[in-house]
Amino acid sequence: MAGDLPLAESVVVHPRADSGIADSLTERINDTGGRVLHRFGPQVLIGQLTEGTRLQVSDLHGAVAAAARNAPDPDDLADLDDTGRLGLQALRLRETPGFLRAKAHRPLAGKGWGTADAMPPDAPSGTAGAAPPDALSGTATALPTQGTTTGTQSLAPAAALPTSARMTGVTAVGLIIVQGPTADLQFTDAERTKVVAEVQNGLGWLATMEPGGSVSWSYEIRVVSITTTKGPDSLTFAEKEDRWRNPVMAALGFSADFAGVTAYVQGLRNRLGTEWAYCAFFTKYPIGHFAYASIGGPRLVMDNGVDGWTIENMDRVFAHETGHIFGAPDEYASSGCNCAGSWGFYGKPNTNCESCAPGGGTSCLMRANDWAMCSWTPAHLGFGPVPLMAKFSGKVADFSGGSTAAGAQAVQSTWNGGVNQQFRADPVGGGYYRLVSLSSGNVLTVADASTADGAKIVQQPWNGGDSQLFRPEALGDGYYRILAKHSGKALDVTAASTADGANLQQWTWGAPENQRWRWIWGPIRAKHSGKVLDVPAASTASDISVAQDDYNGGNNQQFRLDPIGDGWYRIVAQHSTKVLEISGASTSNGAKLVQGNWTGGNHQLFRPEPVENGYYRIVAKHSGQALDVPNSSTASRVDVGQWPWNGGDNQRWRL
Amino acid sequence: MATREVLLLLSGGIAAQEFSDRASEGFRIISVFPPSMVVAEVDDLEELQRDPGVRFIVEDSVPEEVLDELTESEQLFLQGWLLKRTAPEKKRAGDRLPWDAPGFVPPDPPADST
Repeated sequence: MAGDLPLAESVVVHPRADSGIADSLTERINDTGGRVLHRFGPQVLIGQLTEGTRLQVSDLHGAVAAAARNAPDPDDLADLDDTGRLGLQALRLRETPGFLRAKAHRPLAGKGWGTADAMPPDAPSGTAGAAPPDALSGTATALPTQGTTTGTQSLAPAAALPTSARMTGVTAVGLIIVQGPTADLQFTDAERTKVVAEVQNGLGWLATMEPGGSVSWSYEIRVVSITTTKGPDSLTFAEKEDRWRNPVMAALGFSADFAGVTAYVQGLRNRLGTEWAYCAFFTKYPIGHFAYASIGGPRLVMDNGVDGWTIENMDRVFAHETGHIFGAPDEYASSGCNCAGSWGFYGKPNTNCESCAPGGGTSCLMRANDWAMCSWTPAHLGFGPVPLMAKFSGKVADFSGGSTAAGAQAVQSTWNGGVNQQFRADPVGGGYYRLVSLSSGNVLTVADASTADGAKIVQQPWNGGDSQLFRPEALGDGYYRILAKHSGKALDVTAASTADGANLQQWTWGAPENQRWRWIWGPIRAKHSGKVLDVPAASTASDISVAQDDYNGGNNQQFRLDPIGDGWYRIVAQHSTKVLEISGASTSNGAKLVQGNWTGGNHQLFRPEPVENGYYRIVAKHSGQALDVPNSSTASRVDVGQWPWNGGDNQRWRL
Repeated sequence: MATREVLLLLSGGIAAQEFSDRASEGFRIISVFPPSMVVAEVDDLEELQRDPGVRFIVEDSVPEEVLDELTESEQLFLQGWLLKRTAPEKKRAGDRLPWDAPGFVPPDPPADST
């Protein structure tokens, strides 16, 4: 499938600009049950081809046949004409997670062309044309382009590539230190070390700002020497970067252009097996500004001087630019920011913009040279989500009766997606957070600042006291204990109850199940491939096969495990609220994993059984078989099924 | 118990990412440099010292013979971390000032420059 079309597309490319060969190939494809859908010039055919058809066509007239996902890079095909090149490029683009994500979240999906929310595709008679796109929005639905942050944000930001949609989990960071041919273009050993130290410092700070402590960084460092000399002062902003960046990408084995950067970052993510990736160029070549980044990635650029801020602030500038990489906007007044817009993973407005926020807003990394995080940047960065689920009961933190009143008792209840069950975790330093109810704006508080076991957890307006601060600490099993700062005691469900409405309290940490919590939605990742379970195109239909795919942070890759009893769970997909099941309740080897409506059948129940640190086999109750990626394939879009447990990494999953 | 940041050199055959999956209570991964270095915040250093997966724990310095075993980029990562850890307290220009404070240029270019 390319884009969000329900087609399994393949591509056939042959090396000669000969329409007769294309006709011959088309005939063979048709004869073997395939179908050509697109023909781009005489050399590129795109259509529906089975694996058998691809095998039959391959090598015929020197042709290469591949699934769309593995479409060859036109830059590797010297004899390809321009039409074929564009066709291949478009197919590859349609295969990118960013494109799929954009298609899965089409604005105004399902609305008639005549909706009042948008201009119709045809301009009314008497007008010159349709309205221009909104250039101020920070949302990321455009196709990958080269772009930079700007001080005014009046330009459309560069597209948010799916390599850095949100700051969660592990991010690969490629540090590329550019060495020119002359001393003035080279970093000394000491300068290189300083750069690495500053980057570690900046990213270390960002990691500590994320609730739950799940953000970390995986590094690659490349020192790349090129022979390019300085360009003339008359070069434009883009030309200055092109001059050194293109030979750098060539030296790294990628295409000598911006697309090479994207390919490098995507490859980096795959090689290091991380959820996200971006790269940072450090250069002494003249650049258009001392620091800049593409909103949404894939790259940021910095010089070694950091202008008047000096190199001692390189860590903060780097962290600031990394904020842009993950979708956060500038908040200082001269950036031209405003308090509207739709920024970052959650599409939140820029409420802390200095120009319009009450009192000029609060100090924040995106506004000032300060190790400070306001309440809004975490949402832009995509921290969270933060409904808290108790491990033993599968229920989430809530307030009695959904109350928004100060003093209301915090309880556990069955997840219903209500706003009263969702919390925003604001980092306040030292690993502590205030947990703000999205329904009331109040924060979780230990009543009366008591330090006693059994003290109630309630909601109260924020007063800054230690009894309103909590520190989540990872327990290594995917769960956290959540400690109150003033008492050091843990968030606890009274009497280990599994009932709706059971009160939350604090209690001395004793490592029981009723003191273990997790943020409820998360990916399920295959060990052998690093890919995650994915409901293709975010379909909400039943009986849709669940595949493995690159992680893109979409809700169709987020799942919740609800305990049903006796160690069995149902696995709920966030985007559809359907549950995972084995198709047709089949007990056959290879039967597919699909999503469907919850019926309570045994084919909808799974048990995660730990098989090594951090990994589980996931056993289907009705068959006793384990979830399995067939043939240990590491390719994307491979349907997941059940298979007898064989101990392979393709049957080991991280939850 | 005080938390401190350390750099771990892992034993052969223990991948950094794999090691991070073993993180337990009081042990938090900050960053990894594949395949064999991990930066972590730890509560109990003694527990790590007993871990067969940990070859060497770096706090403030590293012996030459250990350094010599590392690749050039590993050495750069480690030395950067040591510099960060051992450097004197920073004297920051414009500390806590807005990025567009008078006398300073914000880290992002103005729109008309691109």
